[in-house]
Amino acid sequence: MEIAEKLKKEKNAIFSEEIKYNNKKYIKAVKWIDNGIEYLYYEIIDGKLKEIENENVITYLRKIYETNEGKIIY
Amino acid sequence: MEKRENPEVREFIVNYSADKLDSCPLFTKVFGEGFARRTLLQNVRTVYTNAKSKDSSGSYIGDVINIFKGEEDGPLLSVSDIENDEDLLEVSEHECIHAVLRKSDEECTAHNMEFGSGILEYYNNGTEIGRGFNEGLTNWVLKKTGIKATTYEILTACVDKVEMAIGEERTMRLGKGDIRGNAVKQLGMTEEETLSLLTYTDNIYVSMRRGRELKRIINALTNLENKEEIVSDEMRNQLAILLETDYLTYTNLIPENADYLMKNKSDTVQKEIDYITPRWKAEAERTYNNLYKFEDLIVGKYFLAEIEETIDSGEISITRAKRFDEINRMLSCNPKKELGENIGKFKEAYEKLTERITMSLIAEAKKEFQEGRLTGKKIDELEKLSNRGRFNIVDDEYEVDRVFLSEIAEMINPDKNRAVKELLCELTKNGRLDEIEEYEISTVNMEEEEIYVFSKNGKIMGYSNGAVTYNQCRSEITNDELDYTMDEDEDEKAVIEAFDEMRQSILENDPNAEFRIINRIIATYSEKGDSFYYIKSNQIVPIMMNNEETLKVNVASNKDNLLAVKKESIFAKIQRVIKEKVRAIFGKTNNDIKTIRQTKREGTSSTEFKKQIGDMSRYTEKVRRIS
Repeated sequence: MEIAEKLKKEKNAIFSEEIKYNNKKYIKAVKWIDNGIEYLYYEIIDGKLKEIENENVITYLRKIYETNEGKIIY
Repeated sequence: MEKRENPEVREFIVNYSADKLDSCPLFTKVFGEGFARRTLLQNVRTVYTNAKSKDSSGSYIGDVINIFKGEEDGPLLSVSDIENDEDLLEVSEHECIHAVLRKSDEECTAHNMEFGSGILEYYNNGTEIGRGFNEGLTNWVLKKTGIKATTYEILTACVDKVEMAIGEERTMRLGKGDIRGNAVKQLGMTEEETLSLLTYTDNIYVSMRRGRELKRIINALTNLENKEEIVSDEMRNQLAILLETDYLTYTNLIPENADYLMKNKSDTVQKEIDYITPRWKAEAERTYNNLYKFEDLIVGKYFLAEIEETIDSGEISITRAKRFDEINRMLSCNPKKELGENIGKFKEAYEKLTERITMSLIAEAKKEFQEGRLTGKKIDELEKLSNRGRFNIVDDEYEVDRVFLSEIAEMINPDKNRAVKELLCELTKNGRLDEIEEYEISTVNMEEEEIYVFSKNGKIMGYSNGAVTYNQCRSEITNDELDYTMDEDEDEKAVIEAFDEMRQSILENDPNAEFRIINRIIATYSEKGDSFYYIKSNQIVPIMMNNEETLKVNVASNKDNLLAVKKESIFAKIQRVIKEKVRAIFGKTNNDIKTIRQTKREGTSSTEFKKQIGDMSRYTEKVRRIS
């Protein structure tokens, strides 16, 4: 099953995009939850989704692939 | 010193923005009369000025607008400072639009939001979406009120593309927010497509901001005098303060950067620049990659089917052709193929469409020509339809449709088509095609090149080598006026001397001789005849005329439709007159006439039928066959 489809079915993610970073493949998915949205990040290894163990990588991806300026707008 | 409260500026910008928005018919149509003033008074309690920001001109937070202008310890920013500064007016209204489109408490509760404005939704769990698109939309609204928008250029252009797809009213309605409900409805997209669109623009927002931060660091490092200086920890800290950015936090955040900092503590400034520069370039690339994805989504969703259907229908109006020109112009150049499948297909279809339009116009010209009615004015009219401003991309100068004019030249003077094409191009460019019948073309040989000389009433008006035509005829040319395109290694002084010598010898024979310099060619008019020279290797060299007769262009006269080639038969003339009368009555196409007939058959009243016919005949735009 294609990864985007798998994310849709198993994680209720309605949109996903692949990310290449530091010679590794990741995927960012978006899903609606009760109090807003949730961004999910996975590493793709051999076509399979793996949890990202390095917290720094998740922090980095969130910094790069999400806007997070809160209540201030420019 | 901290930013300072500025009640006078608050009053001014609230009134100014309320006036602008409430007098914008599109805005009031969607949001209602007086909406802007009401919400601004409620949502902008305070305005602060006289503070600095590292990378922003203004911001809106809570019910506060910050205008980052004015010295912290200097005089308070005044109303006249804003009134007389276009940029400050732009910033003020931009922030006010954020305030106007701010979501109410009820809306926030309904959508689990802590805060929202326009299409930006900031949720209770600390996530957000729509920030990028919202900045573009805010600027788009700004432009609709007649104020220029110079910030968030790419994001504003994204919203322009959406407007092109769904129209201005629905785009304005996006300002009402509610991504999953209203936005999905206005965009006519699925929830997934809507989220994709918002994510791509959010990615653009982030990468542009980060790119700007990195560029600022690069600039500051580049400005340091000694590039071999060691970058110490202390210096990094100083840099962070100097740049007013969270440089250390930022670099430490990235795992590879943390490693880099550990291993390379004694690197030089230059190495630091070399390290940061590719990261800055990567941000720029990421901006464009997301832009391509955004465009591809829009093209695939809206424009591709539209252009393909138009081609299949075999008919197009010029208004619609212009719409496709505009869409094509709005799309970025050279998108990466893997990111622009739909864009690639659109561009291919667009090429096909424009070629067909040009061919249909050439067919029309051919018909006019065969019927002896192809005048310069008609060629001009058809060229404008074929051109439609497609070639005026770089500057305002009118660029002609050379493909179209080449076909016309081939048709009217097959033996001398190159010469005629050059004349057609020159006259089209200068808006003088209606004078074409008065022109003659002579051929001169300049080295191995053949040049066409265009003259009118015996006076040379231009040349085929991209010459500047219609400049003043100057009988007394001073050295300063010897204006020509200089070749590499050419000695200007030697050219002026050579020119002076040539001029003196001609004036000795005929004191009334006149000179005209066009690019590198010099034309002289004297009692003993006209002669031509050109500038070559610091010398003024005579040009040899061909002995051929001058050529007149084979078009009909504007005045009396003189026949150019073939006399129109009586039968053809009757046919043409009838067709013209039918066209004048029914205006549009056979299909439209069929529709009216169909409507009548289905029981439309005779009054309604007559009204429809009336509407049709007022509709003067021609729908052209392009199949």
